[in-house]
Amino acid sequence: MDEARRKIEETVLASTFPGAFRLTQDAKGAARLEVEVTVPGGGSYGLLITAEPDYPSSMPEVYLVRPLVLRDARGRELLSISPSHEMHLLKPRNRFLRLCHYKPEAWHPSVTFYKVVLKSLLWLTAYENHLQSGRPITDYLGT
Amino acid sequence: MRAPFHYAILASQLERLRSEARRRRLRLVEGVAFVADGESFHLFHEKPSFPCAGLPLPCFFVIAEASDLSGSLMEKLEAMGARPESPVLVLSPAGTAEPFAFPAGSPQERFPVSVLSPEKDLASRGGAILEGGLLREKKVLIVGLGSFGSVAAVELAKSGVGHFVLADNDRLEPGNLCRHACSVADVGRRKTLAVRDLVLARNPDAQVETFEGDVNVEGTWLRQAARECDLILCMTGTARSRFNVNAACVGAGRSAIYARAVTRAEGGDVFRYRPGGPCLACLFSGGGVPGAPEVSSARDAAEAAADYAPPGYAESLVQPGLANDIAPLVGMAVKLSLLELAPKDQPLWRKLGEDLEAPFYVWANRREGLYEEYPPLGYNFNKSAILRWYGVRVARDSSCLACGLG
Repeated sequence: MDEARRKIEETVLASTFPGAFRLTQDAKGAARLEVEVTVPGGGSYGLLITAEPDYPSSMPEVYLVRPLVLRDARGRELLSISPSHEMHLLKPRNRFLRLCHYKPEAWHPSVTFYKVVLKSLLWLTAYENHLQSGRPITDYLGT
Repeated sequence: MRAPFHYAILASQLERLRSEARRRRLRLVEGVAFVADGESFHLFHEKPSFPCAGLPLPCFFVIAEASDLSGSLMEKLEAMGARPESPVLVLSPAGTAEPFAFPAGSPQERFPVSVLSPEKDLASRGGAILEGGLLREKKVLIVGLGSFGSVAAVELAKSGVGHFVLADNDRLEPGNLCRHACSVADVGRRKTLAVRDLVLARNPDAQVETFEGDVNVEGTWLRQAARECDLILCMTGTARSRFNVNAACVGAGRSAIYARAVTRAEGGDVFRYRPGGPCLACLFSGGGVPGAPEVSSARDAAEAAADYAPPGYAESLVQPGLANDIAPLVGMAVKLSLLELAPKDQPLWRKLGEDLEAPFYVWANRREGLYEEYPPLGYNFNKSAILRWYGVRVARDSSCLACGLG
């Protein structure tokens, strides 16, 4: 991610998640976005979004880092059932849940971290609905 | 009566040999000939820059007038290990007589020698469309040397492009052979080096650089290479590498051509980027492009399949189309490339420039998947059908973050 792109990402995030995010880059240019989000009328969650140095040509990954343990409507740890098509969960990494957000073929460089956060928020909203209804997340987000 | 032998040498080698002989006062120079089918000999006094057909055999160059050939020369050749079939090429020191050749065992015979100037021949043949030699100084970067890039490289070499940068980090696998320009003899080789040899076999005077890294990781190299080239051809199969090439070309202000096939090569598309026009990201952000990219390798399949796909699903995605289905897509990519490389006053531009005005072209090979609703080709010419090109208008996306940031 170059300087111009980073500025845009920060501007958009600052106006939508003021004071709730931290965007950093390592020496090679790989990016980490830590962001706190709240589901309207629901809980608060911590997301970690990581991106390779060639972001936005490559798609970032989204991890749920807080709370550490998330359970499904039947009380099972989501980590134990990942990856899961029904729950839109990819293979976990470092014991963190990895959310499925954009399909690879839908990704393009004009998608920003902000949109990835919005997609993650949709997953969290669907998750909270799943807890109440017991229906899989695919019922809310599609396949 | 013995069938005539055919002897050939590159003009560039002949010239260098003549000047070296003059400088060092040489009368006899050793070399190597490649003999194919027992009758066709290609002679080299320097290591050839491309693989040659046939088996190697010692050959000799005599720098003398025909009248000066003596029996002692024949004895000398024999002492140097000449076999009866070893070709001997006689070269007039001043260039006043045509070179001729004979088998060392039959010095009384005389065969003419074809002096090959591939670059000159390439330039002269298409002269009515594109003036000879105009592309000699052009430099193209080809990213991805699979079934698209390997064929495109050879086509551009045949069209007279003189400078190439070939980038790919893969080796040729047996599974590639059904569509690749290289052959079974190249399996296991770096695609860059195998395709370089194909380019040099068409135009031995071409300048070819190779890069065996991953353009998704080597961004600095990619941006620099884009700046140094006149045109970039992105012939890769993944969206990520295509977007990385797009970023480099937009940044460098260089035109680029992107070609791909969609699932099982039921069709495909070709996109042209010109600085100031819509970029590849505009094409996708402006509503997306239908069709999942064709998956032709196990590695691409693993990337395309979601983590939660059932066992065996990724393998099932590897369904490359036929070489015949790829050919029109590569052909269009090459045509658009030549248009970008040729000066606008060339005959090539006269009509084709108007015809190929659109930045995006779609092609259907079969009435499957995306093109299932097409009516049969039959005798219609005014309905969407397979095996026709469709130019698509693409507007620049004013909110595109790939080309709108500059």
